[in-house]
Amino acid sequence: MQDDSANILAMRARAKQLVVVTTGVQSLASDANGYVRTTGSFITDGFARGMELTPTGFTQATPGLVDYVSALTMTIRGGRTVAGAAGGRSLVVGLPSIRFFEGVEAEEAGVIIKEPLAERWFVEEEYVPGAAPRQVTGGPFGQLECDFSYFLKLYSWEGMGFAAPFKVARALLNLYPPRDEIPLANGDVLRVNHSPAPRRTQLLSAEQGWAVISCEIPVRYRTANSV
Amino acid sequence: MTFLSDVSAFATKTKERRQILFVNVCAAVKASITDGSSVTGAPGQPVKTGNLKDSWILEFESPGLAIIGTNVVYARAVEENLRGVTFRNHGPHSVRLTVNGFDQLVEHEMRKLGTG
Repeated sequence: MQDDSANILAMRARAKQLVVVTTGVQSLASDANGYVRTTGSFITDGFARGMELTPTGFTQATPGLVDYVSALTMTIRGGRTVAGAAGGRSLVVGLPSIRFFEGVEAEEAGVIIKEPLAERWFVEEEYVPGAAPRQVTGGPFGQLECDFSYFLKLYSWEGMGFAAPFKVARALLNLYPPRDEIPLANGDVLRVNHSPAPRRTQLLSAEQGWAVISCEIPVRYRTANSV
Repeated sequence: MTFLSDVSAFATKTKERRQILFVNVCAAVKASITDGSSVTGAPGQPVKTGNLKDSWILEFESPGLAIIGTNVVYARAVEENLRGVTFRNHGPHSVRLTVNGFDQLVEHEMRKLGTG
């Protein structure tokens, strides 16, 4: 039978795996303006103005908004705490860490977040049941065909170009390719719909300071009727 | 009646029924968006003053082309349920759910039309 809780948790678990851009684990440093490297290239890695990155291996763990990207330096809005070069560090752009998931309080580093924070990305989740289920195979315990749409709305800081929100939205949709299977613990298998396939809206102006792209993943699956 | 005339009569009837089905489906699509539909799961347009719901139009540009739309500025925010939008009734994503359930809508209208 349908289990909306299992459905939304499965979709959410996949979204949390999103990695848009990463430096990989390597030697990185930070100065008062942002991040610095001596080898490789932030540009080649794919970083873009307007992205929100999460540092790992630095004392300052708060995400930062990218203001400017060059091959060896990346300026972060508000600056960074100085840290000399050390290995085992990385900078990653993934699913925004401020997450307004359905039925869950947004929190970051143990602090509850009630409202979006200025100059910070955030994501809103929606689970929308679709049309009523249809029994597609006859008799008792026949198969019910069910639909739902899973929305993730990416709110980026406005006025920093389109490259960052476009890239993050496309990477998110690519996590759910049409016809891909997402198995559930109860044995049902969610299947990303192909007609229509996952899609996103244009970049829309949201409440003051943010722009939003809404990504929709339509899903169809079958589950046994209980009678 | 010859076989040829039978086939010709069948073709004429099919064209007529296709046109009726097209009109009925268009009406059903608009109704799904504005009023909601158990077939598509669309909740329908929220109503406060009625401005948004009443703004939706269905226009036939030709026998095979219809346009369904609204010119209300905040329709997009309502459809996408952007932050700051609140709902007293009905809900968001009616257009999206209607699109996603289009096949079921057509099948439903075909069954209503019957075999004639």
